[in-house]
Amino acid sequence: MLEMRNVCKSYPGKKTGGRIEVLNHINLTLEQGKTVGLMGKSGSGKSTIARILLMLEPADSGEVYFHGEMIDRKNKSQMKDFRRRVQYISQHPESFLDPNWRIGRSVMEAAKIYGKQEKAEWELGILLEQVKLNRAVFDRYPHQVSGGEIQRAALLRALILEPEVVILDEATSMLDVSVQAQILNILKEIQQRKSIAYLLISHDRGVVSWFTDHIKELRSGRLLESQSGEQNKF
Amino acid sequence: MDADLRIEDAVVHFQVKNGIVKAVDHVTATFIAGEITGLIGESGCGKSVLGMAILGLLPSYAQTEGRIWLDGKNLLALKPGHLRKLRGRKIGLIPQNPADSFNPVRRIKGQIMEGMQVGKREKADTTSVKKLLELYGFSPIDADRVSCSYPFELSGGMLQRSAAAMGTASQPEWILADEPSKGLDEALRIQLYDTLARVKERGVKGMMIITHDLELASALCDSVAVMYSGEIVEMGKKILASPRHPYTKGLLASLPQNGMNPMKGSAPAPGDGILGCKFASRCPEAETRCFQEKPDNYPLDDRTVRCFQYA
Amino acid sequence: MRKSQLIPGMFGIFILTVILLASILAPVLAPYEPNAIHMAGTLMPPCASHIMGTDLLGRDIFSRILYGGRSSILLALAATIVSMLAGMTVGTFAGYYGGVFDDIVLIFMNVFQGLPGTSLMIAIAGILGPSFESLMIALVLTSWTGFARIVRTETLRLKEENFIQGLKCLGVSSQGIIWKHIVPNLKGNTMVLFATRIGRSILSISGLSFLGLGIQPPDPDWSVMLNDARMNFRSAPYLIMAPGICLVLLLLGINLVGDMLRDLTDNKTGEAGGY
Repeated sequence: MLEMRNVCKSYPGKKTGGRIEVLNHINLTLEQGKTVGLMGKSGSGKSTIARILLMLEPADSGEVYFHGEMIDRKNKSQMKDFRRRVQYISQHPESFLDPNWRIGRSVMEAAKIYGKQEKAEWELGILLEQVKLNRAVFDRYPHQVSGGEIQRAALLRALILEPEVVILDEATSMLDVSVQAQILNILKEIQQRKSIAYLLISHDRGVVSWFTDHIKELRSGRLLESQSGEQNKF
Repeated sequence: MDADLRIEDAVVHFQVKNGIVKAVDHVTATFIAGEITGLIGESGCGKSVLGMAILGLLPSYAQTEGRIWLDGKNLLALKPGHLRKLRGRKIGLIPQNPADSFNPVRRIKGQIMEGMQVGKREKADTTSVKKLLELYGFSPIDADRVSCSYPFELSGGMLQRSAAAMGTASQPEWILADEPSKGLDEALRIQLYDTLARVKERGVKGMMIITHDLELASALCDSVAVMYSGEIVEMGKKILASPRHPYTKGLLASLPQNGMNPMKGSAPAPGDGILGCKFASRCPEAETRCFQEKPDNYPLDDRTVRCFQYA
Repeated sequence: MRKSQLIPGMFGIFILTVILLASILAPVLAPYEPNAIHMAGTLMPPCASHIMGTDLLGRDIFSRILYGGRSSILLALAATIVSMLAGMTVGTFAGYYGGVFDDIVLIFMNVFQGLPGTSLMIAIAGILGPSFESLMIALVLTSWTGFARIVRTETLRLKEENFIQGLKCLGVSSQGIIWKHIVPNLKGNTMVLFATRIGRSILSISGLSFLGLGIQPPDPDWSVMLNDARMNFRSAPYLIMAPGICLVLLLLGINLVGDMLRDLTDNKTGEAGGY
């Protein structure tokens, strides 16, 4: 459904002055209702893959395809539609929502853009229950609530738009273990209900093994199949 | 007995707009000399505040009650001058973020030597700094290079080991390690385990590790104290291998390798006043009594559990 | 934020309120016309009928003092607002869109900031002749870069913030991001700069007016009064003390309020400071 074909990306090297090849002919496919796990060392380029898939950053070469069609940054109407259907949740809950806006306003912002406001109001109760969020959170500011609540609000904001793909970039790494368990279970339930495709980026092998259908590992710019191995014991 | 670190009914609270927030809510515990004790809990449980209270590093607007006994003295009642003398010699700290713990404009050698000068137990010179670094896993050549380096020149793993060296440079009897594995990837966490194990070789009598990393705690600690909402809910040996308190059980069950089983609800907000057991609203084993009365810490084998089931 | 820390700021607000009220209510409060010449009673020391005395032309000093803040304050306010709007617009767009536009803006900013402010103002006032308009132009030309630079830097920083990235993914347009999310987050920094800039503008206006290139006599502006007092202040110190003290108080008030604003906007952590 959402594919990355033959993507290459390099950055200027800090020390040598040459270029560091972060992504070397990467092919990645996300399918409806399935989760792909992406692992790799910090700085290996996992987030770069996410950014290119989300069209936040251009690849040096290679393309992104959505439902078979190549996505062109310059095509405004195509991009607007793309953006609604492909969503993103980041690693840092504390900075993911505008600190000056109340959470409720941030959550409904996207709905306004796509004209889904009324529908969203209507379904809000159901969605709140699905993400197990209390409506009282809407009146608070991001710095007043916990990381887990922000991630749930971010998820709610994404779900209002009825996305087909959600990219989770270390979405639970900064959360407590028990909160992580809650959020990941919620994500799984929602996936079963709505057949959303997930890209789960995480350094935690345990998390990835529990959740994903396939695990890929990014090593030295190349994407390899990985075994769902045991987490490293001490 | 005197060598142990004993906390007696300690309370730490902060005044906020609408009342009082009790970060540490009547904690009584003994950290046994000669052991590595883990202080485990999730965000907001009060473990860091308790750690800071032990070190006397609470902010000025914090108010304390109760006693913390070390070597016959109550740390909470000591004047700042006395506390300063204790820090470094009796109790040391390996702080949370190694990168932030170093002065960025001084070489490592100088900073470690400063720690040694506080301890006054050995000569503070280049040779002893190098020997200390070697104790923490650096080869002689690396130890030489590291001691002449500035913090920004070192990798995360090297900084971590150097921070442990600096924290123990004064040869304190007790060491508090504050969230040592926060933000570390797998390779560094394994290295950390090794580093902390070596701390004992530095003549340290007892160590407390504040952490939310359950695997690190189960691998390294002799005893473990689990904190929830300002209270110790379970403390003793083999807690993580065979948990008894429903919160500890739930916490372990939510680990990915144990099935990622979520607990319902969330921890109470710091200012919430709760009648009865603080965990009752989330507890699968709760009874009516739990919502009305507060359980004490009941002894069970080699541990204590704050749950009526073990009363 | 302890209450005691707010005292200087409150004092500043008090001073400014008094000055503002005096300026606004001058027509009501002034016992005499500020420009009424009375050659029979020149250089009178403070007395019953003239509580601050009279100047070289017999004009009542107290009345002139009451009217004295108006021109400077109005001009400084207007100029700073225009500078702020111009600087913010340029800075935000340069910071957000980057590229060639940003490069050009940077060149302009560097050129303008490199010019010595006061000299430039004197030059402009000299060339265009002293008038309200020329002063406005001079002030705006020397002040806009301050705002532009701060706003550009903040925009560059905000652009990379997590929540902006998230908004882009949501499909919010660039205009939407700029006006609804970036500009509101600039408030803190620009407010403080606004306060300090007004202070500086008033100083510049006073300086120019004192030199005769700014506000012209017989306008009862404080700095004009200072200029007028040059000849006789040794024998009649009240001529210089009154407007001098008023200017000092005005600038002090602005500075104190500016400091308070900076302290307030800096404080995002809660009271139990993130334990």
